[in-house]
Amino acid sequence: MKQDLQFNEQTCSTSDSELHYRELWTLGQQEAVRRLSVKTRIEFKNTARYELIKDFSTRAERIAGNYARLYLELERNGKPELKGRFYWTGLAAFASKQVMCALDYASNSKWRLTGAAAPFFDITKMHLGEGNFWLFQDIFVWHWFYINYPDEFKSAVPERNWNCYISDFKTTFQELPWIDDALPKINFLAETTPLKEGFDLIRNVEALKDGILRRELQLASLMKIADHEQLWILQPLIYENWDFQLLLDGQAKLEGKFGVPRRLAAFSTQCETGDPDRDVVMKEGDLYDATDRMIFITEIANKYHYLMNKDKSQMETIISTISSWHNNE
Amino acid sequence: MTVNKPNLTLSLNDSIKNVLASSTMQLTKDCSSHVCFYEFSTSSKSENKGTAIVDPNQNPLSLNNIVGAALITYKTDLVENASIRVAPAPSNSEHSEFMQYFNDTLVNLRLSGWHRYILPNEARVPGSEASKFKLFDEVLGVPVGTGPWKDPTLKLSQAVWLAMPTINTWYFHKDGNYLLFRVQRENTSQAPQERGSYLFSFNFQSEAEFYKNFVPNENQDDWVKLLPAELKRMAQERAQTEARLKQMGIAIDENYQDPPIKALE
Repeated sequence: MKQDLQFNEQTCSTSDSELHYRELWTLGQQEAVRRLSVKTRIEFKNTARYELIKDFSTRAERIAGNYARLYLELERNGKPELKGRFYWTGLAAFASKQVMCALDYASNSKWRLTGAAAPFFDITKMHLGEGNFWLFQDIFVWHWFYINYPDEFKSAVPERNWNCYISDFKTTFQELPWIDDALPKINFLAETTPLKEGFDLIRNVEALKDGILRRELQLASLMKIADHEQLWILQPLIYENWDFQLLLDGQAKLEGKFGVPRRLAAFSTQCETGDPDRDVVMKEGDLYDATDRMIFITEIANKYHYLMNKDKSQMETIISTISSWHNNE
Repeated sequence: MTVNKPNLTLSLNDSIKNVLASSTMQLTKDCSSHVCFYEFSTSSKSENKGTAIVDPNQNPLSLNNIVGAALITYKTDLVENASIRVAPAPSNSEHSEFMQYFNDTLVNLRLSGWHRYILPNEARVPGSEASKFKLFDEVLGVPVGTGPWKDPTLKLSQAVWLAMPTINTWYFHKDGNYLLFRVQRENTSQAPQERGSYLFSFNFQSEAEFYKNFVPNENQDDWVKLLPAELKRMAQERAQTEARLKQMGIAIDENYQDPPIKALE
């Protein structure tokens, strides 16, 4: 059954504390954009300017790198002693790497040479680029706020809404790609129930030393944030598009890769070239069906979780390599 | 026409070869250097969901409506970790239907010889004391996994069920094997108090697989050597918590004994 994705129509609050939160959310958003931009200032001559990286694949690479940094607690005000609390971001680093692979594939595949397939790859590229970019704009900022203002996070969560950002910045943000298409679909980046539950679980993870319960709660937090990501961001941005739907079956036949690390081999820094049928978005079922979505998320989470349990140091070494991509150009 | 459902016959610590030979479920193999996943996945709307018999030779547990399975081998060909995922009713069915499945499953688990497991550092508080704890997963301000609300003998009302977090895990043990029984719930947005969508996951683990979770990841190969010291520390933590709870008038289930660990005998 289709979920009812209603827009948040609340007007922006104006009390001092709420204004304070609006400023902080705006700052966080600015930071998320900056992470995907390069400085274009001529030193000592002009004020600093940032320009969004144009190449989709490089953006995906940077996004992967930034997720990896979140997992590894390399952010300013990160807490290395709590490494592992942002469990979803470790998985997301691999997922964005897979998106990078898919984008490279869409741009460079020999199938493009057939001519007929070119629009096919362009549509793929466009949707993957949009989904990956706006997912990062959403999820990075929640984490950024939590890391920098942990005590204020809970009260600040309901105040996040793009329409309430400080207007000076909103004008600059208006130039971001796909903004008019994306923002209404993702409810202007407002809170969702699974997101809040995911961060509540992160708080519990922080209270525990390593052991079976901490690992269980890490997995639970990952599944809640993955639910937020799939249902509230990627579903409306990507999977719902009719042209993308049409591509799914055909894409599998053309060795497509859609950015979901379903195979063990995907948990690496490499773009794998294995069995194409295993590495596509969910084909059976429907992400709008809550049970099918849970099946899909649990399957992927289970694999990542097992590897993180069995081969944590190896997995973290790979995540560390991916983290070095955070400022690639 | 009768359709033969994909069937899985599973005993932990059996070789994957035997499991595959005795099952009709088509499992897809996915391996990296030391790990192999043998997986089954289908839509919750599929007419061809799987069935499974766990421990066929010793109080078997029967599972139906299987939408996912993952049998894992690590360094050997033995299945020491297996997950089976069940969707007993369509999305957006009444909560009561899923609660019925949950209650029936608890009965079936008991009849199959699965008993409540309490983590060795957590207080042995019976379900009869649950109402004295306002938070489902916290005892004396510390997160717990096997607190009183997770006692499988505790009958949960629908109001309590809906007030619980949307992911909950119950722990069991049987003859040296362990089970993490996880319930995921998503309330239907138009009728959250009446309807929802659920996934029930059964994660079976061998003794070794389970207790490796008690030691740091990098020392898992030495789990037998490291476990006694960790269990001792955990027992101290339990004793301290139980002493405080007793002072507060909370009953402790003194009859509960940690299951024997064969590798340490």
